[in-house]
Amino acid sequence: MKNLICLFSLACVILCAGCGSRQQQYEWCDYSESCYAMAKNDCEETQVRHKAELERIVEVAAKKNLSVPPGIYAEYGFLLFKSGKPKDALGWYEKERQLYPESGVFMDMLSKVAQRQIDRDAAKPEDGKADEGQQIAPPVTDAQPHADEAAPAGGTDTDAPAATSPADTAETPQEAQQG
Amino acid sequence: MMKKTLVLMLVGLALFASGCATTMTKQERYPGMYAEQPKSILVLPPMNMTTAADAKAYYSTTIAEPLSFKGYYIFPVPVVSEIMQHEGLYDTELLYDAPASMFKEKFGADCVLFTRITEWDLVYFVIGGSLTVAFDSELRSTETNEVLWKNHARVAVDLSGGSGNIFVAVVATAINALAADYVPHARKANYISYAPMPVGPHNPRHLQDGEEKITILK
Repeated sequence: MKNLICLFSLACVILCAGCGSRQQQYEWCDYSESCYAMAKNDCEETQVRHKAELERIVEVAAKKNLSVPPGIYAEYGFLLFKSGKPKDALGWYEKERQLYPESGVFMDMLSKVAQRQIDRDAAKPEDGKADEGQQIAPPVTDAQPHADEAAPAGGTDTDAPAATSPADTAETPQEAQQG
Repeated sequence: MMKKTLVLMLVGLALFASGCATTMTKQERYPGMYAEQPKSILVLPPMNMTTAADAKAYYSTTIAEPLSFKGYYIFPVPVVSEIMQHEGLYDTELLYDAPASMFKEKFGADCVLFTRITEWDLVYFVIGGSLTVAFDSELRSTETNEVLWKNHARVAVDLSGGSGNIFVAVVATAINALAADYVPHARKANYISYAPMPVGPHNPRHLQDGEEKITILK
């Protein structure tokens, strides 16, 4: 009888150990589903849906006291950037960096791209938004995210402070089209 | 004499049982993962060797979740792929032979994940069906350009949905086929395929799984 109890408790311990290693630390909700829809057809509708899903992931994490999964804040910021809100994007990039310092270099790069868009918007005579919300800055050709040159991109007249834009190729914002 | 025969028989049995698979610990198999202790993984768009055009999107959109649970920082896959396209880096094939250090400089990634999808087959039966996915993955250090981890996985996911009712199953399969929504199955395949990877710093078992045994099929 004692033996049985021993065996039983041992089995319990083993089972518990098995579960313990599979801790639920993130909740991804339906991320893959809305992300797939966006990959198949990158349009405003699928972007809005994916953005709502990212919001839900953040909400659920707060509710269940879980971590927000890696990349979620950054992706949310990037969607804001694509929909013509580069200023708002910066805050979310910062949140990603706070939560995951590993993302620092990449967040610098994304912030710089957003900042360049902000400067470009500021330089426009009318308080213009990025038309179609699809303008993405030209390639960042330098590999140093901290390169501090105040060279205006593509010859636009920037008068905003702290503009750090590398001297890069001519300005040809391309449409982000995923085939 | 008898003993010898017995021993021989046992050895024979052991060999037979193991077939052509070898078992070793994660630490023995992937020493680089424990030596370098990478913290972050940059997932590159997969190379698709199959005729299934959708395989790439299915893989890319379902990979972040399983890998995050392995305990690594995963760079946001859609953002990375878009940024790379703007940098003119369309072709993972070309990047495969380039030094990985560029991903350290640009993204701050500790390692990059290359994937070749070699199989993406849907088979329908009268009831349900199965999705067979196979890919070769290679995790390469951006520091040393060494391959820290590699794996060939072949996973068959049952699509029958587990309903006991034949009619429901038939209808479900028909609907599934129409909707062609294999996202959950692709995700499952990724979960299974990346199971043998040693865990990273965001997983409580970081650096404690070195003695775990894995089986490698030759």
